[in-house]
Amino acid sequence: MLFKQWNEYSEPRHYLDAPLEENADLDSLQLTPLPEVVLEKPINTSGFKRAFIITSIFRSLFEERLACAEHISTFVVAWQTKGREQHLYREDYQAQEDSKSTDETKRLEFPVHKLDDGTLFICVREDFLHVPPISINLLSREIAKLCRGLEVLLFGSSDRVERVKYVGFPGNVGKGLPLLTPPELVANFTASVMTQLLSSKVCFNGYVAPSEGPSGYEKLSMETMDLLIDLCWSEVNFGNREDYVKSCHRNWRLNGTVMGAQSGLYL
Amino acid sequence: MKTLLLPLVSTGNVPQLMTDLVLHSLDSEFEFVRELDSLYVYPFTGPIDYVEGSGSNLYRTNPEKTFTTPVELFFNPKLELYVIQQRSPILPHYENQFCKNVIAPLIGELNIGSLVVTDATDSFGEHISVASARRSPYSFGMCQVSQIDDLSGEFQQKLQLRDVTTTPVNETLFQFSSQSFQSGISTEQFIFKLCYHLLHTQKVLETLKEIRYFNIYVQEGDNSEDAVAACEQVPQVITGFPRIATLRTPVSWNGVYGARDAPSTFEEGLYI
Repeated sequence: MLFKQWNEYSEPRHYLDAPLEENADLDSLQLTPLPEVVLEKPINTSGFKRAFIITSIFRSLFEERLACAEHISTFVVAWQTKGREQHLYREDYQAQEDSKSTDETKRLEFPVHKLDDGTLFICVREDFLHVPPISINLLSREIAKLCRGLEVLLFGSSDRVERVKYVGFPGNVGKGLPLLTPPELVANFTASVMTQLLSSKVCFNGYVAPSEGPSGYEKLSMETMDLLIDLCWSEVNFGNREDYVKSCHRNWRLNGTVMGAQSGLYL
Repeated sequence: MKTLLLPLVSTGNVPQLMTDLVLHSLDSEFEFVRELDSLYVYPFTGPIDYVEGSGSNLYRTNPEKTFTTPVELFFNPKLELYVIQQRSPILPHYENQFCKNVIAPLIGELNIGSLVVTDATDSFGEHISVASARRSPYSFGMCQVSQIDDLSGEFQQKLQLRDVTTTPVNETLFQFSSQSFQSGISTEQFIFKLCYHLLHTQKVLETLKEIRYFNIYVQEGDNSEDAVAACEQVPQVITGFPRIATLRTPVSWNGVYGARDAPSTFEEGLYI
């Protein structure tokens, strides 16, 4: 068998281009418009004591509570994609003379729930294929603004940590869990919101779980999940522990966020 | 005259590694100033980096700080040298905003007279490279801001008034040394955007006297040795910068190049 070198150009590793936008004019000197991020209905946070901020893989930990939580507002992220030329092809695959160019407005919604009397809940669904990182950064900034004066509990993940790590401000005290050590690092939404919380001096406690897979499509191991269930159960009053563990396991399998033999090898 | 060192995230991250060496080797002289706006770069948070066994700490003036963020500013009062450490790349399409909204206001605010930009590259088009055999893996260009007569003329190739080549090149903005491997800059390069925005900001023009461009030719791989070699060149690029006798690497360098433990079970992942 003959192997051909199809791709002679090897892209440098620091090019992290997600396949989001095909804007050919990368050397343009014009400013690119920023996505718009708005909180649909203002929230008076004086009645709240704390806020839970999680990425969607941790949603299973809160699923039962969310079923009866009140939806109080929504962060709306909207951005315009540059007109991408779509060539139209005839049945014989010859390009037709006309090609259409479409300007599209993309819109994402991240609901804000009232989990109980004093708790706000924000779950951010990441997706490196469809959500540009700039909108994640802008969203984090708005979330940090909303959380000023509240105590934040953060659940995030990273493929650059080996075990569940504690993160917090002020004072990075550990709570019995190890802290981040170089060269470990956190990226994506978790890092973005941590940076914004730190620069706004918002108090937070958080857990960064080891995960595998690209942003928005991560998988967690069963051991990690069991530890997170323990941590979450002790942080939040979820009632009977056994029932809570069972429901978390069930939701976790349903959401497809478990990795390994326990989740089943084949569908 | 105050100097600002700006390492561009580029091939092999050599400018970042070089900045790490400069900061951590002289960690008793440098101090952390503040975090810069990280809106236009990829999100990143990490633990505080340090040199094993060092009595000093870059963040000693700010004990509350427990995490490193994507873009941070440090200052060496003895050398009047500000250093930016940028730990993640700028988001595609937002380079212009980064130059205009983060770097240009900072230069005005800190009264920077000399800006030193470090860059690295692994491929160079024939339209830029010097025709004779490459003499040095380093390229050094100087732009005297006050001597630019025709500002709009410098950038008009990009504005496509004289767009005769497919990749416009500017050969007049920077005067490259005779040893350099390049004779001009391409409009595709980040340095071109940076110059455009700096030279079109009034506050910057009031303080900035020169832009020094230091480009390093490297191949991707374990680039720590390239960074060490580039450090030797810093005294020639930054006026008054001392030769560092002992270069010290921070702990984050350990295990960066494939030293992660091999996975022992299926669940730990198939690949290292």
